[in-house]
Amino acid sequence: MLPFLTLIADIDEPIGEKTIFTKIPFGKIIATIQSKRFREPQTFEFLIDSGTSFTTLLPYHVLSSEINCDYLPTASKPCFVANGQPIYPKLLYDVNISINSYFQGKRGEENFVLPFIHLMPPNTQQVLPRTLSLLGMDVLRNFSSWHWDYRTYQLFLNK
Amino acid sequence: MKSKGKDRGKKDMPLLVERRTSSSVLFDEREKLRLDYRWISARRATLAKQYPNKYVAVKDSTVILAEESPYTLLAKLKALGYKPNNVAVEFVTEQPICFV
Repeated sequence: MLPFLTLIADIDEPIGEKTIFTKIPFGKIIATIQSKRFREPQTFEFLIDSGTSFTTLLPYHVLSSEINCDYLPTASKPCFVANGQPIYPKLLYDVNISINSYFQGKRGEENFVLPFIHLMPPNTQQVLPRTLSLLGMDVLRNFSSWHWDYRTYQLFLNK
Repeated sequence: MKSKGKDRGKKDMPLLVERRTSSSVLFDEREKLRLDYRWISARRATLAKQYPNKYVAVKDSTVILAEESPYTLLAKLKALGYKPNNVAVEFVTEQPICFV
């Protein structure tokens, strides 16, 4: 029985030849986003990304949620992606993120009310290689203890 | 209704309606989606051989579509009556994928 309020993410790792870029396992979790801009709650798969300050919806999810980015404001400061390229994301204000949680054997739902999240609109000229978005430190900072369990391939985020 | 006077020709703002869904329904939706993503993870190598360089859509542990373009995949999912975000979709390839 889990003594803390816990979120459980699944550990995954890329296939193929192991290189310096691909050998690192990562955590994935499913979360639902509710916003006035969505007609109904939208559920997405997120990468647990402690290197991202703000939760970010990446192009595939922006496409699949059918949100019209033309009506959204653009951030005044750029985000720098891992290759150093600056990108100005769109801002989605007043967002509620819900994630399945577990506390003392009971299942529940943990809600995070965020003033905004980032959206990266798709570039039709580029292939979208991955279909997951980024769960950033605006949510993850609430969880002080992380436990990677490679027997069950689960990542436990404890509050 | 036809707009009159100063509003004539103005583009209408999209209707934004938030439909409330109970948290237990959303809990089950997330759990089902998680199981489908786990199903893909466990079979990624096989799927990559079967559907190389394609976006694969999985619902209830079954491949329902595989397409080269995400735009085509989303259009077909909608045509089949699925909510795209309730279906697990992953690009499968035998090439190593970098996040960078």
